[in-house]
Amino acid sequence: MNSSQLFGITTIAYLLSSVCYIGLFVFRNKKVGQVGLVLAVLGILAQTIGLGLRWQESYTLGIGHAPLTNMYESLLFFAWCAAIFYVLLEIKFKLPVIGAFAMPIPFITLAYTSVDKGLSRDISPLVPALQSNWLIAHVITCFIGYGAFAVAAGLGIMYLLKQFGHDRKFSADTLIGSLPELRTLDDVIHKTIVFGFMWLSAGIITGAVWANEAWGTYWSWDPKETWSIITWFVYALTLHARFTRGWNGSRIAWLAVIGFISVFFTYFGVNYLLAGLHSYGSN
Amino acid sequence: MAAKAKNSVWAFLASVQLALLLIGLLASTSIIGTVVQQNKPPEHYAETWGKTGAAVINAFNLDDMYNSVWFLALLGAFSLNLTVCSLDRLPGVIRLVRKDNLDTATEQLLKMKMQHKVQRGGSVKTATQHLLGYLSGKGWKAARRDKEDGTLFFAQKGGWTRYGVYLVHISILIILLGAVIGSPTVAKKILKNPQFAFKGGVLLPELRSTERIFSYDDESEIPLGFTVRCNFFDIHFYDNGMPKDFVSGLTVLEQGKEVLTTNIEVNKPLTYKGITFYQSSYNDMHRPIIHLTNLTTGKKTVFPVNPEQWDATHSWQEEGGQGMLRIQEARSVPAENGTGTSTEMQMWLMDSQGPPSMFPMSYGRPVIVERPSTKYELKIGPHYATGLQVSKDPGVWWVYSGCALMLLGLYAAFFMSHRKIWAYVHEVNGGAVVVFIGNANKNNLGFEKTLAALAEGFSGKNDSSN
Repeated sequence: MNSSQLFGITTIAYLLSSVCYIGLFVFRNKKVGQVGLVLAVLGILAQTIGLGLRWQESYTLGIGHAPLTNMYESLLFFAWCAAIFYVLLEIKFKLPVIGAFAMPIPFITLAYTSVDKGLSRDISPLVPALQSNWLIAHVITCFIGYGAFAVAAGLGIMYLLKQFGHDRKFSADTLIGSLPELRTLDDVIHKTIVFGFMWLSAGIITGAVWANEAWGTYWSWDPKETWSIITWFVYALTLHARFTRGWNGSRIAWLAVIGFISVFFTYFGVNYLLAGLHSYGSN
Repeated sequence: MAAKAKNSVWAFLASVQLALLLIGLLASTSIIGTVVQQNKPPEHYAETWGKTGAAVINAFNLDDMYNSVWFLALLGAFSLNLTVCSLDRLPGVIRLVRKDNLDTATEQLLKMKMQHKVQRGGSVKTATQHLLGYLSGKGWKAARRDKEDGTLFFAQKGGWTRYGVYLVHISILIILLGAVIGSPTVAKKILKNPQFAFKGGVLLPELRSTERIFSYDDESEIPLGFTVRCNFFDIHFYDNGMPKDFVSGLTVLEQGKEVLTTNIEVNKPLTYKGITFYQSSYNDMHRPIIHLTNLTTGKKTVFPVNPEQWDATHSWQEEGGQGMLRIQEARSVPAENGTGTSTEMQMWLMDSQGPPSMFPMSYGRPVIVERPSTKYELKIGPHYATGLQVSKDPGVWWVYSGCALMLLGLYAAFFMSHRKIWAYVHEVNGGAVVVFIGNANKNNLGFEKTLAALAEGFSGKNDSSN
């Protein structure tokens, strides 16, 4: 079995896991939720082996580097981080309904990697600039943060849905009723953002140290760097608004969603949209 | 009136509203520089954004916005806000951390939410004696004070973590300070000493040396204070044609004496006397050069070939004596890839032992020459110039320290808590009763468990001693 087959299995496992969690959300069947967790864990195992195999494949090709070096590999790693983060969150907070909003994230990411034909899946050798131990530290720290922020956005959407139901005075029997209490959600959103913020900071710092090692500038305001600091500002703002202005509830839920849009732009938009502007501008 | 005015200015500068406003402004204006490309020639802006757009860009320095006066002013205001805000709140936090917790009235303590009562047989005296040892055995270094009707013990952990958020604030100021210290603009315009901090580059042909480099800002010359020589430049490729590494052999000389010889690569710079040399680019000089490596000693020697006198004899020093080499014949042949031409040569090489070696060689292809005493690798290829980025940044260690402090501060602020426990020993109906009371500024649920275990451990201890 090779790594792509394992990633295929992982995609299916994440899909079925999402379906189970959505089943739990809709039908309030606890058993289905437990199956969802088992499937998520199996998916993570398959993906872990897949990532390990891809790493090994790179060595048999004589290139030998961690599978963290292009968009395809980073998406795989992002899905892995988000799934692991969600499973740990469920173990800690025992709120399996969150899975209905969190597990689709790794599923959609993996599905995207198999649908987008423009994405190169080749294991290619590293250009000189990427040959650094900081690469691994930088990518891992960033992606743990991104994974957490993705789940925080899922939680934010849950919160807003629940609040919507509350405001319209939906009865507890409707779908909205199976969501966790607003206060609990608010607390988990906050803790998730705090966790992500710590790792995003570490990710920006390791990136700066690496840039200084390779190019002699720890900060050059290139669009990727700038968007990472914008994201950092958005979450810093969220934390300050909460700690000192007492913001909570829907405002923090919105900020969790906005923060993730900024993460998404840092990750994707800079590569596609701004690069597009760039090539357009220089033509 | 004056004091009041001062207070209101201070309150404004210390306010979180201002912080939120500034962070929001920094975040939103930063977007502009990711959409408007930075540091392009004026024509670019006129072409991309039209005449009006270009005028706006010019008026607000949006072509170099992160160095513009208004953006730096925003950063300055942000620093001031951070400083004043921290100074404003620190005294309160210090009071909180240094508070005399044994002074708290017992009635007030006994009203606190998190508490566990342990009924303990035996005298108050024994309980008191046991308690101090028990607490320190559990890692709580307690102080005690006698109250009207009992004895109060107090211990705390993680008091310093209340400073965590201020460590983060200070770390940002340290990072910004490091950026100012390492700024070439500050070095030139304020310190009037461009050698203090600079960023520049130099294109150094193989075998040439330099004592100065050129600033990126204005191409002014900056003396290094020593000499750097490029011994060779080499590129290796992967099988698929992607570059694998760029290597420059550099030697540092002080007053003509070699002090250091090393190879640099991308991600492996050389730092000498605070000045760092990075491999950043290269140039083909469109002239051939001979690379000779003694495979026993690893010594590399290069000889540039003058196209007018390509058959000149080159000589070098070996341990056993002198070596000599020359191109005897050279002719153009069609290149193997079908485009252009390549060169085939007849070479002549001799060192201190044995008869001369004569052998064919083609351009760009290394050959191994076996001699009685050693083996050489010989190659004729393009004469390169290595492109070095050269910078001196005395602020970088401030920045790194700031970063480390930030991570420590974030960890302390978010994941550690200030935990306090009191144990109050008093007599109820002739028997000793110990009340364990706890308080934490974060993660109360977790601390509740710790406190329960602590109380239970003490009552268990009582059972076993009976």
